Amino acid sequence: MRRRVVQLACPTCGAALPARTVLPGAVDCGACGNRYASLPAGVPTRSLVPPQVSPTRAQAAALAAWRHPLAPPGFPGRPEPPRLLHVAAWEVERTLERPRAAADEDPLVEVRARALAFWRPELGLTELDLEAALDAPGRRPFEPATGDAALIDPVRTLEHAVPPPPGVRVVEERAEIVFAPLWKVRCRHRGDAWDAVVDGVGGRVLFARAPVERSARLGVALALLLPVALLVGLPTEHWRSVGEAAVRTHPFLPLLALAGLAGLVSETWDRIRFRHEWRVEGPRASLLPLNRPDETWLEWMARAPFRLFHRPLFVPRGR
Amino acid sequence: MLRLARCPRCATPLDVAAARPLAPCPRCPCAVRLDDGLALDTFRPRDDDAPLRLAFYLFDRDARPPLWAAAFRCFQQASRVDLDALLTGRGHRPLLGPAPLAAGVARTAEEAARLALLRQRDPGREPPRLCSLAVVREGDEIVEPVSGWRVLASLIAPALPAEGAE
Repeated sequence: MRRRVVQLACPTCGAALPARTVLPGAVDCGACGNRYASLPAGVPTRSLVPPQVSPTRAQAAALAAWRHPLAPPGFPGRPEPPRLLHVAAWEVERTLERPRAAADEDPLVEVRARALAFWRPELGLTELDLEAALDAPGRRPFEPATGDAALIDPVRTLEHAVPPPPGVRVVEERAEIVFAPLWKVRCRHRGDAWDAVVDGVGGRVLFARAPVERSARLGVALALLLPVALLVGLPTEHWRSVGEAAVRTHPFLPLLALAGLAGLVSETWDRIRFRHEWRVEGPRASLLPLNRPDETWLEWMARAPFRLFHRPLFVPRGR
Repeated sequence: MLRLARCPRCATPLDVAAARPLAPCPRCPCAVRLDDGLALDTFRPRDDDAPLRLAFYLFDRDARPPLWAAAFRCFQQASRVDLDALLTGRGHRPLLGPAPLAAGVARTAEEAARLALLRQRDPGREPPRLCSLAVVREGDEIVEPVSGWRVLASLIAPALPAEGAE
């Protein structure tokens, strides 16, 4: 890639101007004190939303998300100080011309569209209320030289993130990159780092991971096995009567019951065999196996009835 | 491109960071066009000092009936209920006097004239006057008193000052 070096000098006194002149906004000459508007062609404006949630509140929210019934002793302990992240989002104002507007309709319509310009699954950005984040008060021009927050620049182009609607002509367009605030809280436990991401405007936990104590899962696993053990322990003649009663209720009930029992056994085995972590994604909390290989079709079939509930089997209600 | 970001008439620093096409001067009755630094006169209805305002271009030279064109953007507004159509339909023609605009400007006069033509309204050839009209906040909404037009304040760009900051 060829790069062009441009000397940034004050048009009045010739003194060097700071490098942030390459971004749109105001810049003051340090020598003569004149203020200039920097208007680089084709570069969208950048602004930044300050966090509305204090680091203390973000830390409290993270601690609440990390607390769950299967947590190992001593977790989460004392977390590190929260770190401020700013993630880029596109905000675009467009005036569109509708191709076939009715006689009593305005042929022009003005729309505002917003979309994240960045994606990373471990930040839980699907849970972020982008409208609320960008409408928060105190939005100010982005100043790259100030602040110690980490900045996550856009990686999606405007056309990719916010494409214009098909079949209409864009008459006017103004795009802006707005950085929305997030708090990242981290704690360390037995050599591993566990993160929680908190919305810097609403204060909600967007994403959090927490360890799960293996021995704490044993009791749950045994409880899961109890119905299977009771059924297997029945005298043989009772199996037949239970089966007949089930068929009388519904012809498919024995099949569903067998699939359910297979699912219970499979889930119990997973609980004992694999490492798990507690994962919070917005309002949902779930227990996820970490080193579990992909499900076989038999396992998939066995767990099918539980997928109706859209949640892993027997997730403890810790939140 | 670097342009001096002070008002050419009173040297007050302008808010240019939002990179809107015009930066109204907070002290004197002008707005600076950022691409060439030209200062345009700004107007208000006389004796109108309301703190919350919306900017318009008023095409009323050539002894024509007044044609209002919004200099702000209002999102998701349907059909003919837009404020500039209401003011044009009423033939609203207040007595204007030079005054600071005190409202954000989202488009240039040329863009406003082009949009008026697309709406089948003839803006004429004379340059319009950039003026602002008072609006009143009622909860989450703002109301324009002349036409009774009402809209959520969050749908206006550039954003209006927050309540209490007026």
